[in-house]
Amino acid sequence: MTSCCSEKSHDCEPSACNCLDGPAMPISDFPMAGSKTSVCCGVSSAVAHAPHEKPGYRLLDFVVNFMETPAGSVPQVRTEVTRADRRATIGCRLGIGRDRYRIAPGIYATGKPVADSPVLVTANYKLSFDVLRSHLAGIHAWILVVETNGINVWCAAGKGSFSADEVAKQVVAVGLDKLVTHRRLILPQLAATGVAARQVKKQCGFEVVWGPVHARDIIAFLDGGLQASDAMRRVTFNLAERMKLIPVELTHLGKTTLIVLPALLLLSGISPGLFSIHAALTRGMLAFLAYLLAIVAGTVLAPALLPWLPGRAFSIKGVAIGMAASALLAIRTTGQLTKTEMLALALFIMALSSYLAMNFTGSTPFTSPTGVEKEMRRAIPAQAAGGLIAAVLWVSAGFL
Amino acid sequence: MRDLRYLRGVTTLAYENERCIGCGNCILVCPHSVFARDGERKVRLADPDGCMECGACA
Repeated sequence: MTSCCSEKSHDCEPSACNCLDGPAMPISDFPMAGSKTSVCCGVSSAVAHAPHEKPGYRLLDFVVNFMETPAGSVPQVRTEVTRADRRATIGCRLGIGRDRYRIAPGIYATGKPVADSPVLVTANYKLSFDVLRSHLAGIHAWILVVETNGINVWCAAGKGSFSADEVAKQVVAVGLDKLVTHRRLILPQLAATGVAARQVKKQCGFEVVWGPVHARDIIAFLDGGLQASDAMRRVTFNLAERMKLIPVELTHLGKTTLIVLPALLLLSGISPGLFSIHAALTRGMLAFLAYLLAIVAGTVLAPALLPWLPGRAFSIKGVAIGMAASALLAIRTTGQLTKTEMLALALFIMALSSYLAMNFTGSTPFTSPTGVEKEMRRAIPAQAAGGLIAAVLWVSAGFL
Repeated sequence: MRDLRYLRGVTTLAYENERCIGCGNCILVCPHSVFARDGERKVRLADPDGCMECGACA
C-alpha cells in the first residue's frame, strides 16, 4: 500500500562517481604527448579524449561539459537518454537499485543558459531527473536539483522532503542569485503537496511558478508564457502508466512466495494417514497454480483492467478478476478436483486477488488515504475469513 | 481521470468560504480539478469526490 513512497531515509554516502560535489577543473592535454601524436610504443593513441578527468572521480555520462559561471562551475547535461540510462530505468522498474538511484543535489544546465534563463526545480531521483532533461532538447535552462533522498517529486512532496525549506536551502547553497537576474523558480505542480510557495519567497526571495504536472509539457509551458493548459494540470493514469508499475509489484512478492510454497505443500499433504507426500505434491501443485493465478489476477490484470473492472473499491475489483481466474482454473483442471477442493481454491484465489488488488491503491494517483483506510477496515477481515475458510475446506477435502 | 473514480463521500477536504481570499492557487495546483471559480473572489468544490487528499491546495 506504500510501494511508491519509500519511507526509508537513504544514507547519503559520498560516492566516488559524484564528481559534481566539487568543481571539476578542465584538465588540459599533457603538453608533450598531444592527443594527435603518439610518442611511446608506436601504437596510435586510442585513449578517449577526457577533458574533465580528475583523479578519484568518475564523470557521470549525462554530463557533457562544465560551464564557468559567477556561481562556480556548472555541469551541462545532455538531453538525450542513453542506453545505460534506459537500462537503469528498467532496473528501477524491477526494483533493482531503485532505493539508491539518486544524483547529487545542486545546479545543472541544459544548453547554454544565461542570466535570464528559466530555473526548473526537480527531485534528485535519477529517474525524475532523466525524464526532465529528456524533454529539454534545444532549451537553455538551469535545473535546480533538491535533495529528496532519491525519491520522486510527488512522493517526496507527500512525505515532506521536497519542501519549501529544502528548495530555499538549495537556492542559497548554489548561489542562484549570482547565476540569474530574475527571481523566479519553476516547480513541478505535484511538488505543491510539500512546498508552500510563500515560504520559499520568504526564505530566499524567489517566487514560485507552478509548472505542468508532466515534464513532457515543459516546452509548451515555457513557450506559452508560463501558462499551463487545464490538461497539463491534471494527472493521468492510462494503461501504459499503470503497466509500468506492475513489475516492481511482482518483485515484491518473491519473498512471500518462498513462504507460501512450503505452506501450501504442507497443507495439501495432510491426510488420513497423517501426511502423504504424494498428496503434498499433486494437490500442492494445484494449490500453487491457484496462487499463481491469484497473483496474475490481483497484481497484473487488476491494475491493467482497472477502469473496466466493476466496483470502486479495489478489493471488489480484485474479487471480480479473481472470479474470472477461478473459472479458468475450473475449466483447465476438469476432473482433477473435487467440488470441495474447487470451492476452496476459488475462495483462496478471490481472497488473495482482492488483497493484492487493494495493495495497488498505494500506487495510484487518485485514491485518497481516508478512502483506503475505509476500504481496508472492511476488506481485510473479509479477505482473512475467505483465506481461512479456503484452508479449512482444502485440508478437510483431503479426508473426504 | 473521469474513468477512474475512488470511493464516494469519504474525503476530508473542506472549503472555508470566510477564509478564502480568492487567490486561485488551489485551482492551479489541484491535479484532479476539484476546485472551480465561483464569481470573481471565491472558489467552490466542483468535484469533492475527485479529491485524493494530496494536500497541494492546503
